[in-house]
Amino acid sequence: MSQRITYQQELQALHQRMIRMGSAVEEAIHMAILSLIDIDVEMAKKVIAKDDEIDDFERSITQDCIMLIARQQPVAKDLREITSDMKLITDLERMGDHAEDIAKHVLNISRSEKKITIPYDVIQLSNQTKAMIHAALDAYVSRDLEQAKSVILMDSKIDKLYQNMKKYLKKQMRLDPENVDPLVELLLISKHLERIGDHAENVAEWIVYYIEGEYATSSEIKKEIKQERKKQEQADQE
Amino acid sequence: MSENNNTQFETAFEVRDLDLYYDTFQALKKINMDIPLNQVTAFIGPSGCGKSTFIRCFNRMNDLIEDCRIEGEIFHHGVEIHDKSVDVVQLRTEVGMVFQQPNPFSMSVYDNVAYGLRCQGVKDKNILDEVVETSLKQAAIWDEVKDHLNRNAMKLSGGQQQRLCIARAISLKPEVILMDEPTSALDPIATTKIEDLITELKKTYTIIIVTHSMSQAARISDRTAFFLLGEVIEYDETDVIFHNPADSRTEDYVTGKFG
Repeated sequence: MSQRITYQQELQALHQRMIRMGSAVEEAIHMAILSLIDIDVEMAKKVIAKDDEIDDFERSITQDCIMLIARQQPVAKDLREITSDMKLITDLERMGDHAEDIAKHVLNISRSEKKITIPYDVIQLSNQTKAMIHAALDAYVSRDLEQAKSVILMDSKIDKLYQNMKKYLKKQMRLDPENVDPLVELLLISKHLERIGDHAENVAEWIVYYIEGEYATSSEIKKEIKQERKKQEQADQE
Repeated sequence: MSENNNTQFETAFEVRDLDLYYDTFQALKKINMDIPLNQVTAFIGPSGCGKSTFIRCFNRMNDLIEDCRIEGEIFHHGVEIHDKSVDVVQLRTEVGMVFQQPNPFSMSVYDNVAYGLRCQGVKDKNILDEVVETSLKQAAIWDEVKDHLNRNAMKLSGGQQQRLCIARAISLKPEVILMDEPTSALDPIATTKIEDLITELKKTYTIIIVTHSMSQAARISDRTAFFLLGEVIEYDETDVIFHNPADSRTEDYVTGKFG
C-alpha cells in the first residue's frame, strides 16, 4: 500500500515542472536557431524575453527542491531525483542563456552593414544541437537509460561540426577581412551551439546517475558503451 | 538477501542460518549476517518484522521467553553463544543492553552505575568510584550529575535516565552494546545527545541498534539491515541502503512507500 501521498504528489509535480522548464529551453533554442537562419530580429527579441521565464523556472524549482529536502528528507531514488534535478536545472538555465546570447549575436549581425549568407555547416550544427537537446529531454521524461547514454555519444559529432565551422570561419576571415565582424558573430554563435551540446551531455549524465545510482563522467560512460558494443560484436560473430 | 560482500571487516558476531520460532510461529528465517566490530549496525523494518527479536538473540534474552526455539548459530569470537560451555551471565556482561524505555533502578545515580560491579562482588570503594565516574563520563552525563550522585535516579529527565542506563551498561566493560529503540521515548534534544553519544561510543564498543527512525539509522549507523516478515531483505553499508539500495522492497520502505 502506498503511503506519503502528499510527498509522492510533490515529487510528481516537481517532475512536471522540470519537463515544462525543459520544453521552455528547447523552444528558446529552436527560436534562436530560427532567428539565426532568417536573421529575424523580432524572433531574436522574443528569445531574449523568454530567458526571464527560464530564470523564473530555475529559481522556483530550486526552492521546491530545497523545501522537499527540508520537509520530506528524501532518500534513495527520491534523493537522487531531487539532487539530479537541482543539477539539471543549472544546465537547462545555462542552455537558456546560450539561446539568449545567440539571439543577441543575431541582432549584432542584423545591424552589420555587410550582409552574409549563413553557412550550411552552421545550420547543420544547429540541427544536431536541437536533436541532442530533444533526445536528452526525451530521456529525462521517460527515464530511459539507453537513450541517455546515446545522447552522450551525440556530443562528439557536435564537437566535430564546431571544429569544422571554426576552420571555415577563420578561412573566410582571411579571405574577406572587411566582413570580419559578422563572421566573428557567427563564430561565437557556433561556440554557443557547441556549449549547448555540452550541457545536453551533462543532462544525460545526471539521468544516468538518477537511474543507476552512481555518478559517471561522459568519458567513462562512452568507454562503457564502446566496451558493451565490442562485446556484442564479438558475440554476434560467434 | 542482497548484501555487498566486498567489505572486509573484523566481526563481533557471525550469524549463520538463524531461525527463531515462538511456538509454531517462525519469527526469524534463515538469517545470515556478520556484525562488524567497533561499528554501529542498525536494524530497520516495519513493526513485527523481527528486528527486536533478532537483537535479543545476541545476549540470549530470548532464553527468557517461553516457547521460544532457536535453530542456527551465532558466533562471538569463534564461540557459538548457545554452546553449553557458554556462561549466559558472562555473555550478558560482554553484551550489554539498553531498552526503549529508560529503566534506572529506584536508587541513587551512583548505586545504579555501581550495581553491576557490586553484583560481581566488587566492594572496593576506590574501584567503584573510578568506574562510576568513568562510565558516567563516557555516557556524557557526568557534568550533569557529578554534584548529585546520591540523588535518586528516578528524578532525572528521560534523556538523562537513558544516558544513565548506558553508563550502567558501560560500567561492566562490555564489548557490545545492544540498543532497542533507545530514543523512541525521548524528545529531539535528548535524542540528539544519545545519537552523539553513540557516535562517540563506537570508538570503543560495537553497537547494534534497532530503530524506527530512518533518519536516525542514516545519521549514526555504518551498516544497515532491512528486515521484512522475519527475513533480512538487504544488508549493506548505510550509504548504499539510503542512496542506492539493491532491492526494490528496501527502496519502497526507506522512501516511505510502505511501512
